[in-house]
Amino acid sequence: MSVVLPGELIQAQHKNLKLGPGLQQYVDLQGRTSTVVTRAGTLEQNAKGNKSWVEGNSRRYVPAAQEPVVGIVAARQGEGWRVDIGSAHQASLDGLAFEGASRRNRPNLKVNSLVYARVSLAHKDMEPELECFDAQTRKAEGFGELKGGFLVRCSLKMSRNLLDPNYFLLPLLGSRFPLDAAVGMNGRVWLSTKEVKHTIATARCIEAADPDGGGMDQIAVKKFISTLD
Amino acid sequence: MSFTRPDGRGNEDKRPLHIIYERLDRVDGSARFGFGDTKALASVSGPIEVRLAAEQPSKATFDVTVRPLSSLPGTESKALATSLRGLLSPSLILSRNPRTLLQLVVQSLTPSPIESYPPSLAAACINASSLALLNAGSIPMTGVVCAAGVALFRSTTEEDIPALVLDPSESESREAVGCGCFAFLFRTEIAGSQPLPTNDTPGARLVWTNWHVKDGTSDDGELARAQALGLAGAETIWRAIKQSVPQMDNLPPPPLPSRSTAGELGIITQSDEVSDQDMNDAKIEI
Amino acid sequence: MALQTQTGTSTDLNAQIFQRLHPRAYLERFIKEDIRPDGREATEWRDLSVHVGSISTANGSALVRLGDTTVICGVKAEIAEPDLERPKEGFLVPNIDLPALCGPRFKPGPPSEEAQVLSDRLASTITAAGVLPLSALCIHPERAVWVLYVDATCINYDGNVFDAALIAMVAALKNTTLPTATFNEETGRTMCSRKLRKPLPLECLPVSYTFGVFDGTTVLADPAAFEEPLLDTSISIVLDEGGALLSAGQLGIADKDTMSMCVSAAKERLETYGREIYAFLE
Repeated sequence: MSVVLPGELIQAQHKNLKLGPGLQQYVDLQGRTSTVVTRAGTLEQNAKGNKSWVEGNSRRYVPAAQEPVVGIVAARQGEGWRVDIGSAHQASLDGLAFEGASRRNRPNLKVNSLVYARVSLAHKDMEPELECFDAQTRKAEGFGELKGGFLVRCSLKMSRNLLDPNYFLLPLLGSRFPLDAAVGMNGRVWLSTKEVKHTIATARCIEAADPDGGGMDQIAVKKFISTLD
Repeated sequence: MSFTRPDGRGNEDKRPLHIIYERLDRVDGSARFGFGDTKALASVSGPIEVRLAAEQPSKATFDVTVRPLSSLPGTESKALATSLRGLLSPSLILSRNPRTLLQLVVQSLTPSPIESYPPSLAAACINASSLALLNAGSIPMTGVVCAAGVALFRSTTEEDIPALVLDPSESESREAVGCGCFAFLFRTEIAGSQPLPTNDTPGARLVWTNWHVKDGTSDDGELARAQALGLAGAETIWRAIKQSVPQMDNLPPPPLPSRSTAGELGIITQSDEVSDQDMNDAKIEI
Repeated sequence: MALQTQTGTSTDLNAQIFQRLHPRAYLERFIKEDIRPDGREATEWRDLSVHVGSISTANGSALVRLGDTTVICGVKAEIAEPDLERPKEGFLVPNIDLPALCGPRFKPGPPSEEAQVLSDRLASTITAAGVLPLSALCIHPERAVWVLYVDATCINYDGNVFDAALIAMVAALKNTTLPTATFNEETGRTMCSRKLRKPLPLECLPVSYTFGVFDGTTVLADPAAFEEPLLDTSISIVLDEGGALLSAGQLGIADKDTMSMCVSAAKERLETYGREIYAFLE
């Protein structure tokens, strides 16, 4: 849609408009509300028109609640751990925040190991908190320690693309070789394959398709893959 | 007054603008801005960890460093850095990320005299900083700051209206009787008196003035006219910035590496990276 | 019934506590009543006094008091070889120091960023205004020129050091006398007379007028130390003796009208008081 810069006013067409990232609502002294752009990018709307946001790319992760992230354990902290998720502050992960954990039965995470967790608390005045189970079902659902594998970094838009089930890249690679991947919204992707060259190929493809570094489309990536291996 | 500039430009013509998003590896946002040969490069990282002494409980700490092209940064770099911090802060919502650091580093790419930064170079630094902040995308912004330099020439022979020129080159700034830089914050005002938007730009408010005249006159209108010329220049820059936003992502893909015996794993060679750089430079001429 | 009136010291203490804990609200209360904490009106300036010649060991000196802000400035002259590219020009090196003694928020150590920025602003204002043509400092082209170190020190910081320091520097320069110097080609040395002294041929005597904008609306002239950190915008106008605009500086959001208002206020101030600032007995 249209390109917008911070400070521009957008017309709120829908009565109950939900504002996504990049938009901010202000109320002036007379009670009139106006919606102002706070990020550079393209203004997008969903099909129904009741959700609006500014689509833009960035590299630095700012924690938001309920987002899955890949974290690196930095240190032990009391009953839990401090985890680096790429934000300004480290997050805390409690020892009991795992499926089936109790005082006696706690996971044994070592420093520098990887975890796939969900941000349970993200407030600007507090340090973020993580949990390793799904919010509704309270079961692991893939969260927890990531053993082995390889960590790749990408831009935030690329990680959003990879989490989209309709995006071509991971299914395309998965059709060629068995691939295990955990995508974090903090711009980190964990990969695990049987052979090293498959891991490297996946890493190169993610780098190539990243909008921040070229943005290859499906056809170009297919050609690219054929040059690897 | 028919005043001819050394390079034949009109009084209100800028040199061609260059806006390039550098994609430096280790920072969150970076950009290069140039008025012709007067260029500056800026990089932004944030919100990142801040050391305890500089931590602020209700907002992010905004730290600016300015480096000249040659020799160590002296007091004039410190002064420009302090000014940058003061004029860019109104455009940032620092309260969204308290107890963090937003770090801006500006590198001048043009030689400048040791004592001061010429107005066009200061304007290039400001514009490069705005572009880098937009490129980073991680700190919410209330608006975009754009700046332009203006110089004043007085005719010694006749009683003519002095000539105000936009975007003076370094030599023009030296010979001019007065010169300065004006920076404007472009944003829609929410409350109070609104500066009227002109066509497509949101309203602009003056955030920085740095105007010096050698032999001043009592003409109050001179400063206002210089400001108006600076505003016209800043508006064109704002439009150029808006046009450049799609360049931040999705550049033409790099050329495919050729199959080589050594490159069984498809390692892209250094020469391929270099040719990528040329494709990455998209220049906008206004 | 109601509380007995508290003793004078107790209400003073409450006011002081309020000022320390909520400085912004404290100032807002005053501004609503059209007055400032030190009793001035919004457009009122503090008393200015200039004394020159107090440092006998310096070539020139001046002591300036703007309200409680006190700045002392001394000029020392040395002889040096000129720059190769500018063989007929001397050097003028203005500098200001904000030592720990001038206020509780200043720490001992190397010059702080604030002092460096202030030095740069003063140096560029003095150079841009053309106070002293550097060719007047030439003793012998390519061989010997005067270097004038104009060193200002703030003794007490109560806001608006820029205005006080500029007046101090220009007054010190006006008070400066240089011995007549002759350069001896054969020996390569400069001889200075003990008796004959000349004042500097100053071409311009600038005065600066600084304003601050509080809450986006109220313009306060000559901000004091308490008001300075609460201001959104700071505007400095430098005029010469004739009222011509030499320099306009502004940092922070301001409207066009605010700037022109400050320029007129500065001219008004010049008319009422500015002309005698540098008229002192030699």
